Amino acid sequence: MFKTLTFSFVFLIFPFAYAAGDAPVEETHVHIEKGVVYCDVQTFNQEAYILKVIGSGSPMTVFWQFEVFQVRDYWLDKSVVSIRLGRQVIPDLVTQRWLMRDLSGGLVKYTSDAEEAMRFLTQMQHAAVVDVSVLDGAMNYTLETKLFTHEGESEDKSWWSSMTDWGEDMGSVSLQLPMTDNHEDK
Amino acid sequence: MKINNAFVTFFMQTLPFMGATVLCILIYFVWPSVDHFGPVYLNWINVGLLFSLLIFVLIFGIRHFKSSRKSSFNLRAKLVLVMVLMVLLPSLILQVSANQIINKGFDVWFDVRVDTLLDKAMSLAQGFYADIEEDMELSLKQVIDTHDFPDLEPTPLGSLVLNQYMEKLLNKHGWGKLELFDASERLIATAQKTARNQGLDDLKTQPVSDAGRLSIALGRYTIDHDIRDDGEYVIGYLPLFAQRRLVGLFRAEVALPEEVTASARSIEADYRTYKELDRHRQGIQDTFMNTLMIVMIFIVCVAGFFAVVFARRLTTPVEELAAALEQVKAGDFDALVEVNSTDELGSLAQSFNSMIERLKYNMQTLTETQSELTNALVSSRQRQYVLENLLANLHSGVILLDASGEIRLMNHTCKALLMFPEQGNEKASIYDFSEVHLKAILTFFETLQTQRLESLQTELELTYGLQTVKILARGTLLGSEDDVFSGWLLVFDDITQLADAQKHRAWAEVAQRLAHEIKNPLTPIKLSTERVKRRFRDQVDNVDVFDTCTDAVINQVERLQRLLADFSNLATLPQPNMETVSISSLLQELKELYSPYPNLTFEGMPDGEVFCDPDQIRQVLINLIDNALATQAHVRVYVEVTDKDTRFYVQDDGQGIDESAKEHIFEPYFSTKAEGSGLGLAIAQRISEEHHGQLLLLSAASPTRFCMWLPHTQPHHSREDEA
Repeated sequence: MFKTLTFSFVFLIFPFAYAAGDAPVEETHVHIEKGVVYCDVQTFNQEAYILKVIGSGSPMTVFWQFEVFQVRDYWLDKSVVSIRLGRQVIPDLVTQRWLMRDLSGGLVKYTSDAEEAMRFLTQMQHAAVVDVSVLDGAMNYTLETKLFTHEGESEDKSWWSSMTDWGEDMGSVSLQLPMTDNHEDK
Repeated sequence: MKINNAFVTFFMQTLPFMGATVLCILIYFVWPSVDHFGPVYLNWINVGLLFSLLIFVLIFGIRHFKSSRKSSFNLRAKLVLVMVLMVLLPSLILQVSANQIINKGFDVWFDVRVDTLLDKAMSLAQGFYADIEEDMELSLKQVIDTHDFPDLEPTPLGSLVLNQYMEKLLNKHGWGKLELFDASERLIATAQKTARNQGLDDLKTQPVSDAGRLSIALGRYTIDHDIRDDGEYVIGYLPLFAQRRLVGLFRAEVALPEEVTASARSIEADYRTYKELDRHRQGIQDTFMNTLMIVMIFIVCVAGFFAVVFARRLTTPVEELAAALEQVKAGDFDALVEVNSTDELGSLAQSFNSMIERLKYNMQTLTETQSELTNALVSSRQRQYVLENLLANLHSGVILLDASGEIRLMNHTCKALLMFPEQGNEKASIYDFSEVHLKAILTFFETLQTQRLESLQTELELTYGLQTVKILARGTLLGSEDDVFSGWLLVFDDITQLADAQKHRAWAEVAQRLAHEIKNPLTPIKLSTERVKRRFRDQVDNVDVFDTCTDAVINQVERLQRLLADFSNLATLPQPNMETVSISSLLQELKELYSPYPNLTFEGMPDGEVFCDPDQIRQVLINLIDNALATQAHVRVYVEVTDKDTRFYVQDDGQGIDESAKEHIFEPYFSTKAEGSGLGLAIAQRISEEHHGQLLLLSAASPTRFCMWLPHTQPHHSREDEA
């Protein structure tokens, strides 16, 4: 009994206590176009931080993780799809340019506006998440979005990083699949 | 003091839990935050170490709480605590000092002057790049404003005009290279300055960049910055239009000085690093602190481990000694401890073992002695019990006196024999014999004591009231002055009856001899007198006088003979020959014997038996009847049988017995008759007493009545006496 209380205190209460102090501020929208679920998501509470990082010349890499769960009543929700889209900004302070790189598509672009570079990282517009045909219209699904931020050009792939970096929760949105549209698309 | 002890005990019991609480708080602070910078694994290492320490402290605390009554565990806990504190306190001080130094160092490193300097350096570098770009812009503007570039369409490739024009622009604006692309981004002409060590690879043409396309799209010049392997370049794109139709694209590039770009990039890198460090200042501090904390916790863990090992090695022999002592306390003397070392503890264990062995030997000896003493005590008690019973049943009085005359032992017979008074018969010392009749005893003891006699024997006569007792006193000295016990043993025997018996026997012997001596000449006297009477009766003058005289002699001789016979009977009365006799047969014999006497009546013939010597009892009854018949009055003989005895009554209606004669009637030689010997009633009473009965004069006045009662059964001691 005592050990249970100790473990609970140490391993459960502490992380929740930390999580409670960082309430995420985000905006997530989902829309379906031509049988594809798109997601528009933007984080606000990371803007100042990211602007500060890239403004001081440090590269910044973000990963947007979209994961669709099938909602189940008596068991844990089942992960159906999970995609991860990366973006990166590499500042050049001497020329005052910021290189914006889409790690998923390979698109590279320079900008001389730091805020544009910041928005490039904090916003993900029209991200294709999943094809509706993969989903069952009779089921309920939720889309969970997470933002992983890393300072530097490469992602920290150490095992403890994957263990400890749980990302910033961008919220969960319920997917309402229109049956007719779904069938028509198919 | 008790409150202090209780407080210390409570403090020692709760100390591990307080430590656990502190560890929990530390874990809370060490736990990595979400926006943590730096190696997170340091935090996790700290968390792991702290958590291990927490588990260890909790286990230790619980064990300590459960076993707090064990002194050895307390000792071990104190040792561990002291040793850990000895390491923990300097480590804590070191940790705090290091934190302070790190904070101070960071304040110095991230000073605002450094910040300003870096900002200025960065601005300088940026200004250099901006100036180059501005120069490029100005040059391109001048090219546009002059409008002197040749018509490209009729000009053939490689024509001298175009080459001269491009060479002129190159030299005029100081560009390093100028390239002309047609509308399809194909290179038309190139002009560049030659440099040393320039090879063919340097003539390779770079494709049009996004900035070039942007300039085409915008219809105006654009400036681009290109970083290549051989250095950095500022590139300007200028679209050429003829009649609003794109006909070509100039690309002019200026190589930035390598030294300057290297410096600028170095400044940028430093600036970036500085800003990064400044931004993660707290994280870096945390890293240092975590590293230090890891070291500290590791040191504490190692110290704790060695403390536990050392304390265990130190306290285990103490625990074994304590356990062995508990066993010894419980009576187990086989509890020996192992001697594993040669240090003080080993010496202590060795001493303990030798002490236990000696103790065991002593205890065995003590047990054996105790057993022997117990047996001796039991034997002594048995002897004492036997002695007490012996003394209690002994007919002799015994007094055991110590050297000071204190009475150590005195049996009841002695108290009865010495006729102790009812009040104050408890005597503690022989000197308490203050009564008059006990003076003889005291004198006897003083004689024994003062003359230091080993033994003394004497006869004493004690008179207490009307009772006189003759005792034989014997005293014996016990032990000597050197012995453990010395004293006297006084033994008293009642010899009253023995003295009387001896006296009677002596008198009887005297009487018998006297009677014999007297009786012997009486017969010749009587015979001679009768012979004289027969022979000389005829020869005497006065026959009457002669007859009277001779008759008187003969009669007196006969009376003397009867008297001597009675006297002899009294003196030599034999022991009664007891047997069971029928009362009726005994009376019937007497009735037949006295049938000639009409004034004698036997009333009633009761059934029953009497245990007696029939001859002696018959003699008593004859004696009584003869005395009664001598009154010439009516005589009654009757018998009364009760549960306990048989009573024979002889009653006469005579004149009775005088009061003066009544008191002496059973005394020998007392008679109211002129010719009586005075021994009849004395003999009768003696026979009655020999039969453990009694002869009583119930009524002296007329009618005179005698009663002889005899018990039905013989007393027990009489039979023993007979045996």
